[in-house]
Amino acid sequence: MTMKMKCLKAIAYKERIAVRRNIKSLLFIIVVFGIILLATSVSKCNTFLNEGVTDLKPLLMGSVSYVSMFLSYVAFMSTLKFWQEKSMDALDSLFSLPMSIRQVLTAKVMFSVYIGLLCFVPSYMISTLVFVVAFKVFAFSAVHFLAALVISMIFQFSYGVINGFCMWQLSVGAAKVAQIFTYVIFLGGIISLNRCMTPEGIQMNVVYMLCSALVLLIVGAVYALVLTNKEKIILNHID
Amino acid sequence: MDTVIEFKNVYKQFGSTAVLDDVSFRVQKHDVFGYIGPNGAGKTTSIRLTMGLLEPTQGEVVVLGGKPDQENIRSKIGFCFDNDGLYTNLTAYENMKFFDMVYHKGEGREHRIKELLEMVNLEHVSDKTVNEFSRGMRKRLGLARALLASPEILILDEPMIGLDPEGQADIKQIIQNAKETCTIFISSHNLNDVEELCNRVAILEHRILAEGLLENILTDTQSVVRVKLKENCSIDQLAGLYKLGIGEIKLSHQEMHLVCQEQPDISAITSFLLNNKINFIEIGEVNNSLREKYFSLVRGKNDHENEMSESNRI
Repeated sequence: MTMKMKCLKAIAYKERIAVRRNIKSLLFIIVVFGIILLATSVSKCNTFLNEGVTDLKPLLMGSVSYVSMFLSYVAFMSTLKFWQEKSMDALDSLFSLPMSIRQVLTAKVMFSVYIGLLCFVPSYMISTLVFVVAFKVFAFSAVHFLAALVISMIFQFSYGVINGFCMWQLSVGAAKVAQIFTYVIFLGGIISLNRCMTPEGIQMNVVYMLCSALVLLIVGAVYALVLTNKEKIILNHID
Repeated sequence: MDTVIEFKNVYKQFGSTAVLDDVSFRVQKHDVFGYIGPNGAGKTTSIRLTMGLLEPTQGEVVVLGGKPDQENIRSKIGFCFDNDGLYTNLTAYENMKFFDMVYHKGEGREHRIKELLEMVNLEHVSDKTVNEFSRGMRKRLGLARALLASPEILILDEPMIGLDPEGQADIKQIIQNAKETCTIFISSHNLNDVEELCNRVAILEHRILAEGLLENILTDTQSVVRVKLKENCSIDQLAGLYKLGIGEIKLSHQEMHLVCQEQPDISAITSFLLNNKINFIEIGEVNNSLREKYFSLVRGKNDHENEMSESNRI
């Protein structure tokens, strides 16, 4: 087994235990968010119906993606814990293991992306079913599903890497500014999905904004991976 | 003999502060190497350099013939830091399992984890989370984790600190057993433990003050007479002592150390002090122990630096 796979498996093992211990609260948060998101989406589609829109399918497909991406985001965020090593004073021992800093960083993010993915699939299915029941429209497309899944994963991975970099390597002040900035881009990107579908059709300016947000996060993540430095993290922790 | 850790003229600077200043030493295979020095002397920085967590500002650190940041080198090092570095939200078993998955070297690992937990006497609490553990239990678990990799080098930072005598005895026994199979590097404040466990020692205070086999360091110690003074006196008052075969006079805080080239004549020194009205409480020859060597080196250096700064002020 390669060192990368070993690292991924080991980090996943450790993170899985933490998730398992908090599974009830995680499920509770997802269910609450799911109910709120589905209720607002149904209400929004009803408004469109009242405004005379006859073909609800594109609107519902957009809503399904939005609900799934948002819930996936909630699951991802709930399991992304870079502060854990810092608070437990375990950074020295984690970085002394035969794994590179980038392997550790990406392994931690990939685990949370995996949890986000696990949440995305059932969320997509359930919201599609809810809309079938509410509007008698089967708003499912495999292409749509895959596109939303890939965008969601790229968003999460990029955000996770930047978040990890900020938490570990930057000073508290700089980390907060960088985190708020990426958080706004990340969340703004997902929420803009909901604004993208209108009775008049797809709002292309919103689509462009979403693409810009995605590119910005990817560039930020690559930059963070390049800049990640073990010594700086250790010294930042000592300070 | 194989060198497993080598510091070659290592400088490490944080901002404008030099933590390590031209540090050079070697640890040979199967040594139990004691690394001693006062707080802030650079011991933990040296360990971080050895683990590849920091890079030297100048000089080179060689571990097992390679750079310490190489993964294949780090996989041969077991470590237990002062802060133990365990995951407090995981159980003892889960901590061991996590670290074992990184080092994983084949089949039968469950057996190895169980064996190590038994060795450190924690098998009965293996399903308890580490945040329920006492400091001594954490240290023992940290040590078991360090041995998971069947390391060629075992690095222990302050392994005895915060332990009760029973806990210290357990850790010492584990170290004694481990030295059969690996080289051990111990950073410690406890000079008695270092003297008991180590065959080779380095005394550090930003730079190496002494390094070598423990027996050589101890026999190398010149005879020292310690005098506890009743009140401060000046170095000028003591100048006459040089005629009595005293090579060096170290004066600090109503205590003076007289370094003698030959066997000291205590009665002559006593007469000199009495004749010159230098009141003292106690006079005696210092034993050849690591403790005395350490204090003579560390205090001597500090006194010298104080003198330097005094003369600079003038």
